[in-house]
Amino acid sequence: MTTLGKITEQIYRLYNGGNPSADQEITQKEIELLVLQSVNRLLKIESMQVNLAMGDYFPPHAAIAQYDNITVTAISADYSKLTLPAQPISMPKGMGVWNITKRQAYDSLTLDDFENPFVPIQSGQMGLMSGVGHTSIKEVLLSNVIPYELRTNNEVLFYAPQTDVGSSVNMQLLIADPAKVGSTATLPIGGDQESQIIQEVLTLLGVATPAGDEVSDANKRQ
Amino acid sequence: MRYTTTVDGIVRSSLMTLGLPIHYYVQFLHYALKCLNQELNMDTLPLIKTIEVTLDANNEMQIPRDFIEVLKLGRKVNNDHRIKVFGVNNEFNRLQVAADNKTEQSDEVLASLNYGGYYFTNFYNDKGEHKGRMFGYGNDTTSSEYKVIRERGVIKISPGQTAGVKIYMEYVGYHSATTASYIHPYAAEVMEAYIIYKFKEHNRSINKGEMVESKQEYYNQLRKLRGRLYGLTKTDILRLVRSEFRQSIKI
Repeated sequence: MTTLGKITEQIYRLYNGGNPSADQEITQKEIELLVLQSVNRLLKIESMQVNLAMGDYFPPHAAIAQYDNITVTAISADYSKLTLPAQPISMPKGMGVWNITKRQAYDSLTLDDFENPFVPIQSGQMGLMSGVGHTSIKEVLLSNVIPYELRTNNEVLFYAPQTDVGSSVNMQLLIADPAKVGSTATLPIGGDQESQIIQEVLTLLGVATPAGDEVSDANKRQ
Repeated sequence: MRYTTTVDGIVRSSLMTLGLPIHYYVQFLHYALKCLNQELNMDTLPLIKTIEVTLDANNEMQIPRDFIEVLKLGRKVNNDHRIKVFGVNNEFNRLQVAADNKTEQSDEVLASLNYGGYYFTNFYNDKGEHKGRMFGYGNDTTSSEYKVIRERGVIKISPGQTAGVKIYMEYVGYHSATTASYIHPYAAEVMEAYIIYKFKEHNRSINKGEMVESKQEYYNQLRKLRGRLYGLTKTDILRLVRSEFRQSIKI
């Protein structure tokens, strides 16, 4: 288990072959961003190549980021929408947006209404459903649940008025969001994946190990 | 807690069975409704709807929007519980024909043809014994026929029935289910098996052998459902046998 700050420091030192010099062009902030980008890539690989291949459609818990109190705005008397607080990783069936729930008061806390999540549909699917008259799937769906779809790359559309959805909702996205992961935050990866992140970022920084070079850094061959 | 079997519950249960998240809910709901409407509703578990419609001036009645097939069509016998059931006559003209030259038929006439003894009859004696000699007695066929004409969306009734009479119809109709609608508990496993079979059939990452297995499982569940629904009991057999025996006057 490592933190963003710790792994960034590690990469920074490896990149510089020890203590960085004062005229170093790459900053730790840039490396932090690369680390998180690499984490997102690994999370997707784990979901798609490891979990899905084993028949597990649920993402690794470490990939789930919570966003509370996201504002919902009314579009018309029948529809409402929200703007995604971050861009989740791309997954089949829009699973990057893992969960959206109403906000429910439990004692003095406001938590997710875990038992009644909104139901995701894929973009354009409502148009298909509207034409299936012999099973009335659209009417059946709207009779009991509130569906939502990822209408554009940053907009979620609810097929219900704002009064039914609520003025704000809680969301869970599959992402390691740079805006939410601070230097002291634990990275959402397993211990076995730390060296993979380091290797990947060093490769991105152009620090490959040339043949015969015993030290992996930016200095000339030794 | 009340135990209920609903479409929503069956869909969620299927997701649980396959270990899938709620992102597959709509796909599974689609399969569930197909099973309910296109498979079970057609024969095993039909949703029977009943209407009474007034015949128009052309001796036709409109087919309801959710109509699939006629189960029983006829007229009420006065205010009795029974229905005088009409039969199909495929010789009827498919086109609209203006109603004229119709003969008046009252409910009483229909009833007397259907059930001798309730109204005035001369074929029973004062001891309730049938006197016989009812040569040529049969069903009333000329005024109790119909034909479904789907292309015009109507059902044509015998000209012998006058315009304005009320026609009683039981028919198989489409489900107007909601996700919270009650489903027969016997059907839950069949619907779940159907959902899984269809999911595997349309999933490229699942091999054909696995799909065939789930198809067989669906038909096995369907067999069990039909067995449970149409179970013949000892009571049924006894009632059937006893219904054919009556006491009569011994001479």
